[in-house]
Amino acid sequence: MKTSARPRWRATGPGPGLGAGMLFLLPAAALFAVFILVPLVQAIGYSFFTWQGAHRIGFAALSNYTALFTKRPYTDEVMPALGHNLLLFAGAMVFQNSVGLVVAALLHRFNRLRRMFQTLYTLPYLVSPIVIGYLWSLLLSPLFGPVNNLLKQVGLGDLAHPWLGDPKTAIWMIALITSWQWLGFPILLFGAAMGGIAPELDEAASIDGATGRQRFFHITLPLLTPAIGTIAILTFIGAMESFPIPFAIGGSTGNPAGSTDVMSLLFYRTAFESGSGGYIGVASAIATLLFLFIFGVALVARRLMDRVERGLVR
Amino acid sequence: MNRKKATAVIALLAASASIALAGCSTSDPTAGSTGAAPSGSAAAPVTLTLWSWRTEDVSAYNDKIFPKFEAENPGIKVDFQAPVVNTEYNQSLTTALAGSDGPDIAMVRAYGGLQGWTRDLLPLDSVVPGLSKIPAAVLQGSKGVDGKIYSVPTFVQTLQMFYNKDIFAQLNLQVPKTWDDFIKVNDTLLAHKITPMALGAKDGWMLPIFADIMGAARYGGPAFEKAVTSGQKTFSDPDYVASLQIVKDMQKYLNETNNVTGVAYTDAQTEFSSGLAAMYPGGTFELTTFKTQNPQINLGTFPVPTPPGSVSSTPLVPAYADGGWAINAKIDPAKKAAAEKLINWMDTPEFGQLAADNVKMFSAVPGVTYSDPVLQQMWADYQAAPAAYLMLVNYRYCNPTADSILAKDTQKMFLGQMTPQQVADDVANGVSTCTLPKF
Repeated sequence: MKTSARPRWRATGPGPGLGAGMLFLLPAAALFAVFILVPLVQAIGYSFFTWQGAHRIGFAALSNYTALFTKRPYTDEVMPALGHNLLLFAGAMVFQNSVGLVVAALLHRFNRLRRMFQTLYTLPYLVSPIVIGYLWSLLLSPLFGPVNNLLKQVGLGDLAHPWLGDPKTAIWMIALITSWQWLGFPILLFGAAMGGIAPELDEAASIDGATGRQRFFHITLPLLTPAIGTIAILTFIGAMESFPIPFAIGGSTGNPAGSTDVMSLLFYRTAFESGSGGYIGVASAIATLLFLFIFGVALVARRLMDRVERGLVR
Repeated sequence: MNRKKATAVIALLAASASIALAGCSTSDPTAGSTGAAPSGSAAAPVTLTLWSWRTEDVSAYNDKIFPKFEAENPGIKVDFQAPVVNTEYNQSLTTALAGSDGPDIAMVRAYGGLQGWTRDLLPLDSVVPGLSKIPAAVLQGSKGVDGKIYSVPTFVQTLQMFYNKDIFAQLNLQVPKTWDDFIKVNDTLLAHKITPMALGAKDGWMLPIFADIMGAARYGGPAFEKAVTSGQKTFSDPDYVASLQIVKDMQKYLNETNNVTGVAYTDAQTEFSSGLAAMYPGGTFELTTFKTQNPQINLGTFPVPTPPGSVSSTPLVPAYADGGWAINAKIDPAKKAAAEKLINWMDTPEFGQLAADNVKMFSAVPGVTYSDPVLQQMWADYQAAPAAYLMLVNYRYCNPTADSILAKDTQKMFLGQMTPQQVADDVANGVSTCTLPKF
């Protein structure tokens, strides 16, 4: 006889009843509906109309969507912007999550100062990203920024560079700044996941003669797979929705020469900075397609991660 | 869960909901500009709420300009607000005007930027009879594509070259009258290791302004404007390409010559106001910033001399109308008469003079004089040879806007990724599908 491994909801027993449970869910559900669901459905609806300012003036069918692939400026800007979002994701996986994993592993071994370092690494995350963006744009200014001045003063003037003014480096600087701000996030999640690994596994491997490196790669890392999957998906969503730091660094047009343009900036300037201001429909089409892309990729990634996790349990 | 607990939970949720709803409502009924009519007699004071993107002018308007109107019109209070920063103003006003939270009177953008709001504004053609006195080129910025006038023009911005008089005097340099003089000034400054021109090329929006300051005379200013807007010429015209070549040629005189796209707009302003650069190509709107950053700065301005091969025989000063005052179409009927009185006052030389004196910009209203010597110089130069800032005045009615293409492409030109011809062709292609309004 087959039995399901999933726990089944029981309306009776020592916990709260179904009615009370639903009551407690109501406030969150109401907030979700008002602030997420309704705007989401509205944005999808907006994308099928033509607009003058904030007024609907006609039904557009799919023309706002086809404009994204047939008309300037969208034909010039959509794919580069999407590419930059994917670069930010790649950058965050390398600079933020890999470094976060290493730091979390080190902190896991040093119990005494763990809290202090976790707090320190998490501090930038508490500051508004728009402030972080403006702060770094000042630090990296080629005229007055201390980064280039420091390089010049220690004899490394050849390395001084207009970091945010060179299209080759600007998007990577945004990836690094974003990673710097969010580093504490993977550290906390990986730290919590490592805390959940039974210490007996590590001890048994150690008794069997496994080195620290072997224990990390063959025991700790495989058991972190669920956390890695969750962090990767959240990082992907964050990178695809990236707005404040690119806005603070490169403005709404992705300066210089569109090299820091991302999808949210394209949405923003289409909605609010386009000629005579009748482009809310096209902007909503951008938002809808972006949502579908993020949702689709996140869904597929989650399924893949589930499969990998089930493989680990076997 | 027992009945008592369930009742307590429901009571708690009901209380939370009522608090949330209370938070959503307007606590002060007079705070919203389009709220209920003032109660009481006809003499009850009316408070008109004004919105603007000029965060730096709040004190000037509330403390120096509108008290004059309030003294002359007892019973009308004016509350000037700059509720959000400049870059967030458009979307905030769009949302507010479409809803019920908009101001009674709003400062609105000109030309293409006005069009998204016209459904929410009162046409002023018959409300403000004095509008006919305003020059047609300025008034064009206040018109909807339907031909109606929706705002009283606020300011005129002129574009020219600022220079630091002290640096010029120190190096015995004169204000250049010819192109050769101009190049000689730049070379002399370079030789003395002073940045000739500060330009924030990292912020692309400054580049079409720079292109017009340097090249309007080369491509022909008003004559080219007429030809290109009527379809007789395109931006691929050799004269326009030559004007972009001048922009490219100036790169060697800009700050961080090889890295000019790394310099932010605000960095360039600081570079000039602190005396690290001798010249700054910019608009009238820079003046307050320069004086705030360095009250001792000794400023002058001049129009850039005509480059070789120029279509125009005289240096040109490009200009544009910068916004206007408009009445919210949903204004409370009890406030409408007061709003119309105020907006008519905004079309008088008295208001124009107060605004010019306190905000340091050119009033769009004729008959205003300027006591500030820098403003006097700029105004005299503009009056001698006016031109339209082509990209804004004519080409911000479509998407992509011509200036957004030129901004990005000029950055690419500075980075060596595009030639002047390619930039011009791209602008021509970008605006080719745009139907310009016929006023």
